[in-house]
Amino acid sequence: MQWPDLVPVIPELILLVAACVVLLVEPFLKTEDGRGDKTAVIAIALTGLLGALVVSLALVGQDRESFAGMLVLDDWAVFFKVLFAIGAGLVILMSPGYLEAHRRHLGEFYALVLLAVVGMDLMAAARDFILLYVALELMAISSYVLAAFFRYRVRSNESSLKYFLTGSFASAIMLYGISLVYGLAGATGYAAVGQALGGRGGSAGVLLAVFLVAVGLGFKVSAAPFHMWTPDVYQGAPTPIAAFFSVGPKTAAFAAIMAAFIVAFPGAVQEWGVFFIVLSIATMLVGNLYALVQTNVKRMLAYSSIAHAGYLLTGVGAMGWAGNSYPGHGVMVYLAAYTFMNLGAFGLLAYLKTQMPHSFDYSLKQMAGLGRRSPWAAVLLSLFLLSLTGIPGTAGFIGKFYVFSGVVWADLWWLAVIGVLLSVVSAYYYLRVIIYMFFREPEEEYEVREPISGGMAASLAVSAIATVVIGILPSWLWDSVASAFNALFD
Amino acid sequence: MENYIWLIPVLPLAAFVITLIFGKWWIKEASHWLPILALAGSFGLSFAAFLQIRGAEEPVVVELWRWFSVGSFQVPMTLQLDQLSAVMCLIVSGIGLLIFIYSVGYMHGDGGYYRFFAYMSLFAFSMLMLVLAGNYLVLYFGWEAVGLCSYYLIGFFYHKPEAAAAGKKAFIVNRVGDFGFGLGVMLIFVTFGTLDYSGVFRQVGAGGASDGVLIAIALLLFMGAMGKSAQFPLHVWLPDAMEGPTPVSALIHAATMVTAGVYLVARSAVIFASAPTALLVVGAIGTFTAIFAAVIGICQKDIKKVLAYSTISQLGYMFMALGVGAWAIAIFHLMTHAFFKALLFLGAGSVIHALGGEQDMSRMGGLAKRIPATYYTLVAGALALSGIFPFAGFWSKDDILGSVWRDGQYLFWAVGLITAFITGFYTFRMIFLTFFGKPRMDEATGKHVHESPWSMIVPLVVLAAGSLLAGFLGLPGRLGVLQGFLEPVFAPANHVLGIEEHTLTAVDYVLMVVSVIVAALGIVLAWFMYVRRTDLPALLGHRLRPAYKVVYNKFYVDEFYAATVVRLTVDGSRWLWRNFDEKIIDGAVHGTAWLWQQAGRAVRPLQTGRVQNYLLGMFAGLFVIVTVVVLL
Repeated sequence: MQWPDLVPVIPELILLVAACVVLLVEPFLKTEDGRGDKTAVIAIALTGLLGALVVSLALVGQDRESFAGMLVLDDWAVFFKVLFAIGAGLVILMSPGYLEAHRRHLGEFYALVLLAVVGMDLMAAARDFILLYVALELMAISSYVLAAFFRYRVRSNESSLKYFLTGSFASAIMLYGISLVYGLAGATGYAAVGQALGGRGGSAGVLLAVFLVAVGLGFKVSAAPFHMWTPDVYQGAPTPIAAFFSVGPKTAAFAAIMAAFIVAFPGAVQEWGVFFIVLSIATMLVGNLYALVQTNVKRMLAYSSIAHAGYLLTGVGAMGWAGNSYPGHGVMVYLAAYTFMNLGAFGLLAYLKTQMPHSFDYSLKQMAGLGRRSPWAAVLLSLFLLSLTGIPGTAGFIGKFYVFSGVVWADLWWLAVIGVLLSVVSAYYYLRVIIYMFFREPEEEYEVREPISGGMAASLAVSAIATVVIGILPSWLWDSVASAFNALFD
Repeated sequence: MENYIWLIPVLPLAAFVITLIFGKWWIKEASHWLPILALAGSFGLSFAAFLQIRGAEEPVVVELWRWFSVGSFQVPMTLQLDQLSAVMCLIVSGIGLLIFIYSVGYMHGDGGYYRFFAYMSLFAFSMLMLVLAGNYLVLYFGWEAVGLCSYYLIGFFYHKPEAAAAGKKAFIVNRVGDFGFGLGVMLIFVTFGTLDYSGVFRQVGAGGASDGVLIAIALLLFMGAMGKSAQFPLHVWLPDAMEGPTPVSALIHAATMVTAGVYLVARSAVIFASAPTALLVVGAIGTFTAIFAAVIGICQKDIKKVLAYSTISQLGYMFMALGVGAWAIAIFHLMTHAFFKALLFLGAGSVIHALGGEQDMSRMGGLAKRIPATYYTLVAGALALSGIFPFAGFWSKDDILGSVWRDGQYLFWAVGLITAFITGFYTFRMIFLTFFGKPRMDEATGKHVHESPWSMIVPLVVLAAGSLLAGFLGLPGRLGVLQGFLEPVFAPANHVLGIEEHTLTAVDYVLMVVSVIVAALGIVLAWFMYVRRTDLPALLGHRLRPAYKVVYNKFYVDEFYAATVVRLTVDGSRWLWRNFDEKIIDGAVHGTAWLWQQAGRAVRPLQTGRVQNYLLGMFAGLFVIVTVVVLL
C-alpha cells in the first residue's frame, strides 16, 4: 500500500495530537481541592495551535493534493488554517477565567475546540463532497458538546439540543443533496462533478441537488430562513463558545461554499447565485430586524452575526451571478476582519460575565455606566462595535467596503445599496450599547471588578490591534486573499 | 535612504501616543522628555535626509503601503523627499525643537502639561506628514490633521470661553478654505486620474489639461492656502488664535502651520505657473493682505495681536513672491520668517511670563533693564522683521521686492515698500512700548518682574542667532545657497514661466538701499512717537478719530462677517433646523426607526423557541426559495 502524502495535513495532525495529549494529561492534574490546575492543559492546547499556525505559515506557496485528490494544500487552505488557528487561540485565551468563574473548568473543553478546528481546517481544504461532509460533522459534533458544556444548566442543555436537532436535520438535507450530486455526476470530487455536470447545468435535478447542498452549508452560516437556532444556541452556550460559533464554523462554511460551488456547479452559477442573493437579502433583513429589538446584548450579537452572514452572502451571490470568483475576494477579507471584531465583542462580554458571574445577565441596562467603572473595557467594546458597524478606520469598514465593491463589480449595485442601507440600520443597535456604556447612569452599583488581565487581556489586545491594523493597512490582507484565490482558481 | 524617511514623522507620533496614554498618571511632570527626544530624532533624520538629497535631480518617493486599491482607484500612502520637503522638515523639526524646549519652562506647572506636549507632538507629526507627502491625498491628510491640532491647542485653556470660541472660529474659517482645497484635490483626480505629485506635474507639463481647468484647480488649491495661511478675506481666525498658549502661537501660528499655504502653492508651482491668471490672483491677494494686516498692526494693544497681524502681513509677502514666480524666494522668506517670528513670539511670551500673564502693551514699559536677555533677543527679532541689514528679514524681504520689480509688477512693489515702512513702524512701536519709557503696570506686577528660566532663554538666543545669520543662506542672485539648493524642485515651473537666472545689477543695489532706508524711517517714526513725543499717539488718535477707529476695529471685517455670513448662516440654519431637520429629516428618521421597530416586533413571535417550528421554517424557506428560483 502506498502512503498518501501527509504534508498537507501536518497542521491537523498536530492539533489532533495536542487534543489527545490534553485528554490524557488532564486526569493527572489534581490539586488539593480536587479541581485541578489547568495551566498545563491550556499550554498544550495553545502550543498545538501555535504549532499548527507556524507549520501552516511555513507551507505558504505549496501546491499539493493528497488522499486521491480529496484534499489539497494551497494558499487557500493555508489562509483558513491560519485564520482558524488564530481564532481558536483567541477563544482559548479568553476561556479559563470564564470557566473558572462557573466552576466548570475541564480539560476536554480545549480538546473539543482543537477537534472542531481540525474539522474546520479540513472543510476549507476539502475538494470532495464526502470529505466536506465528514469534516463538517467533526466540527459540528464537537460544537454540540461544547454548547452543552455547562451541562447542569437548563439553558446550556437547551442550546445544545436545539443545535443538535437542527444541525442533524441540515446535515441530512445536505447529505441528500450530495447523494443526488453523486447520482447525477457519478463522482464526488468538486472538479469531477464540475466536468460531469458542466453541460447540463440548469436541469431541475441538478438544481435540486445544488440547493440541498446549499441549504446544509447555509445552515452553518446561519442564513435565513435556516438561522432560527442561532440566537438560542449562542445565548445558552458559554460565552467564549458562542464567540467561537459565531466565527469558526461560519467561516469554514463560507470557505466550503466558495471552494465548492464555482468549481462543482459551473453550469448553474446563475441559479445558485440567485439562490444566495435571495438568502442574503432575507438574512440581512432578519438579522438586522431582530437585532433592533433585543435588549440583551449577547442575543443582539447573535442576531448581528446573522446580519453579517447576510453581508457576506451578498458577495457569494455576486460570485455566482457574475460566474467569477472576484467578488469572493471581499468575502475573504470580511471573514478575516469579522473574526477579530466579533471575537473581541464576545470576549468583552465574557470578561464582564467573569467578573460578575451571578449578577450579570448581558442586559443592556447593566452596560450603563461601564465607561466610568471600567474605561478600558468600555473603550475596547466601543472599538469592536464601531468596527461591526463599519466605521472607516476599522476592519469592519474595510470588510464591507471590499464585499460591496465586489458586489457592485458584479453589476449588482442594488444589492450593495440594500446592504449599505441595512448596515446603517445596524448602527442603531451597536451604538445604543455605546450610549448606554458612556451616557447612562447605572441603576444599581456593580461589584468591585478586577481589571482585564492575563489571557483575556492578550486575547482582547490581539483582536483590537488586528481590528485597527486591518482598518488602516488592509493591503497585505488583500494580497494574501488574492494569492489564495489564485491558488484555487488559477 | 528610503528606509528611514518614514521615521521622521513617526517618531513624534509615537511620542504623542505614549504621552497621551501614560502622561496623566505615570509620566506627569516628565512629559516633555519623550516629545523633545522624538523631535530631536526627527531633526537629526531630517538633517541626514537633507544631506542626501543635496544635488539630487529626482525626488525620492517611498510608497509605504497601499491603503486601498480598487480598479483604477488607488490610495497609496507615499512620502516624497526632495529639496523642498527637506528644507521644510528642517524648519519644522528645528524650530519645533526649540519651541518644545522653551515650553518646558513656559508651561511648567500647568495642569495639562502632558496634554500640551502630547498635542504638540501630534502637531509635529501632522506637519511633517504634510511636508513629506508624496501625493495630494496624504498632503490633505496632513493638512486636516494640523488644522485639528491647531484647534486643540488654540482651545488648550478650554475653561476660558474666549479660547474655546477662538478654537471654533479657527476651525470653521479653515473649513471654508479646506472646502476649496478638497474640491481642488478632487478636480485633480478627475482631470489627471492620479494624485501623485510626479504624475500630476508631468501631465501638466505635457499640456494634459485645458487652461480653464488648470485655473480652476489652482484657484481651488489657493482657496485652501488662503484659509490656512490667513490671507484676506479668510484672515480673521489668526488673531483670535492668539488665545492659545504662546509656544503654540510661535510654532503653529507663526513658524510652521500657517506657512502650509505657501508650501502648497510652491509645491504646486507647475500648476500655478501654467495658470498665469491664478498666479496673478495669488500675488494680488498676497500684496493686499500684506499692507492690510500691517495697517491693522499699527493700532493693536495686545502684544501677541501685533505679532499675529505681522504674521499675516509677512505671509502676504510670501504670496506676493509666489505671485511673480519667485518660488525659492518665497520659501526663503518662509524660513527666515520662521526664525524671527518664532523668536518674537517666544520673546513676547517671555515678557508675558515676566509680567504674570499681562499682554496689554499699555500696561508694560521700562522692561529693558529688568529682563535684558529677553530685551536683546527681541530687538534682534524686531530688526529682522523690519528688514534691517544684515538681519535675516532684510535679505529675504529684499529678494521678494527685487523679484517683484524684475517681473514688472511695480504696483506690487510700491505696496510692498510702503508695507516695509509700516512694518518697521509697528514692530518698533511694540519694542518701545514694551521696553522703554516709564513702567505702566500696577505695583504688585511690577515687583514680580523676573527674567525667564534658562529653558526659555536658550531657545531665544539660538533663534536670535538664526535671525541674524539665516539670511546669508539666501544672498541675492547667483550667491543664493538656498535658491541653488531648491533649483531642481522649481526648474519645471521656472521653465514654464521662462524665468532665467539673473545677475545682480545696479538696480538691485539701489532697491536694497531704498528698502532699508524706508524701513529705518518707520523705526525712526516709531521712536519719535513712542519715545520722544509720547503725547503724539493720543493726540493723533484724537485728531484722526474716525480713521483710528476703523483701523483699531480691524476694518470691521469681523463685524461684517457677523452681520452677513454668520447671520445668514445662523438664521438659515435655524430655519432649516426648525422646518427641514425637525420635520422632514427627524420625521423620516423617527418614522424609519418606528417602522423598523414595529417590523421587528411583528416578526418576533416567529422566533418561538420551539425546535419543531425552526425545522418547519427551514423546510418552508427551502421550498419557497427553490420555487422562486426555479420558476424565475
